[in-house]
Amino acid sequence: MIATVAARNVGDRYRSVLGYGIGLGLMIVWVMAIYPSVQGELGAYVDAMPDAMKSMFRIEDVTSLAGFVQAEIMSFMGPLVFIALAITSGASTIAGEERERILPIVLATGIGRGRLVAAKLAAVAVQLGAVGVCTLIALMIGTMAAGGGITVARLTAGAVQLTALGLLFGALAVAVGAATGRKSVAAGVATGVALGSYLIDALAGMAGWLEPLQVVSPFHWHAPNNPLVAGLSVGWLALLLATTAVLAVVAVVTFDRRDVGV
Amino acid sequence: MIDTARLTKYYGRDRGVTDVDLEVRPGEVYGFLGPNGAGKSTTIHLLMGQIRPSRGRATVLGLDCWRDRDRIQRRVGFLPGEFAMYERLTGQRMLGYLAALRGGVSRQVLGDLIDRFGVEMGRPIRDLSMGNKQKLGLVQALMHQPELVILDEPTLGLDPLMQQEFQRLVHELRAAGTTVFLSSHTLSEVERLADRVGIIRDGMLVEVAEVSALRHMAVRRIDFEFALPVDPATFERIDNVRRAEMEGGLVRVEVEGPVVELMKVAADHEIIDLHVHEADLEEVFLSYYRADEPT
Repeated sequence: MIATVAARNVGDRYRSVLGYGIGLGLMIVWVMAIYPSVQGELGAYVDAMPDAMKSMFRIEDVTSLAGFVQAEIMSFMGPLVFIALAITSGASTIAGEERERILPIVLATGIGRGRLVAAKLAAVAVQLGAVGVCTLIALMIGTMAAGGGITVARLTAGAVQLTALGLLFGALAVAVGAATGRKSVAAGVATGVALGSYLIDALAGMAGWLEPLQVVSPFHWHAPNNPLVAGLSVGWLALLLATTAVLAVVAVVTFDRRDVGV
Repeated sequence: MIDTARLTKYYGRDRGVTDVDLEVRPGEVYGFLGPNGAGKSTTIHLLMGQIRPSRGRATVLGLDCWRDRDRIQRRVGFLPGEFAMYERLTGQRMLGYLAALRGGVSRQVLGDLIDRFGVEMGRPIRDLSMGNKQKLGLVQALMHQPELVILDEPTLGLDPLMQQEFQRLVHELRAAGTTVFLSSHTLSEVERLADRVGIIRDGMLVEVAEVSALRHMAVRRIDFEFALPVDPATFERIDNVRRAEMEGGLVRVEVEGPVVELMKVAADHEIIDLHVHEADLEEVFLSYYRADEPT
């Protein structure tokens, strides 16, 4: 039954998911394909940048392909796409269907609220996974186009960490939606938290007082080291997934206890 | 089948229900009657375990409406008021989806229901009229052959022909031993369908009566057009006529309960035309309260 509900949701959104996946994929391939032609000038260009700017955009070593992709894709555009998909999908799934008055007739089948939430979370995960696969394929094509240099294992690590970051914000949107039944609140809270944690992480290098906060920002957990260079950070990935699991439990428990459809 | 004691739900100001004691017996058709906003849907949401009671107790099929809601829902057919479905799906796929969530239903039963209501199965739900959507709602409520069906305003949007079909269906359900609990704001519908009626007003169950008893409380307005002027006072002498007056060439008579005597008197004159106005629910309530007042 969980699979039936999840499949229904993914089926409703597959065009949108394809759009996200193909869009991000094309951008990755394009960015990586131009790398060889800009490589020479990049060193001088980055050297001229203020340190604060380098820190903000996690520009560490753009003269390598991995550093270039980290700066161009992994630190901002990638997370943006994953999180945008996660939040739109997560906010519309329970809160959205409640507003559209679909939930009463679905719940009336007796599938149970816990199973419904689990199915909705699974649907969000499947959508993010699909974009994750697109990202990995694009990274592999891009690496080939740029003349190689990053192992498939490290590319996979990059795609997995992006997917996990998206999953966390997807679960947050589902949880807020499940607890409040309000789509706009779900989307607003998740977007606000995403923006806040991005800013904390990005500005921590410049503003010393933010540094202690950096450790609570999911953006920091997502890529404390460049996964394209260092590979998978298992500890940080576990932290992302554990937080996602806690949010999933919150979603199930709050939805189970509240009035639906009023 | 349904049993509530002092069932109460507060939300917001002036909404919700207070101390509702419902008892629906196995095999009966119970009409739940009340004006819009009186608390019909709130009560039904409580019965289906979608909202939690503030106070009091509610059981359906002997199970607690909040704690055992999943078990209740599997055995009950439910048509929510103002429900919606996935707009992009066809009726076919929507019903298939709901049937799958119920763990499958009999193709035979489903096919019969679809034929019976002439449901448009191949078109996306967003293209269906309100009546067609309502038909789909009825089919999904009945396709798993539930022992109890709870229907919130089931004939909303149905054309008169389909309303008749629905009436036949309810009679068949009762004959097959299914218990039916249906809400309505129209007295005439409940009169035709139900064995007993509960009347809810301002969140309180004010009256539970056999339909025949309710009919006695009903006030109808009949406008007569006579060939020659007739003095309204002629009708005021009849026992159950509450009021009679001339208005724009018509004699307007308000009659409570049976119209036999009134028609006998009226037939002494040459009737050109007459209009019977449906007993107004508000009037039923008023008459109920008037009857309650000490004289």
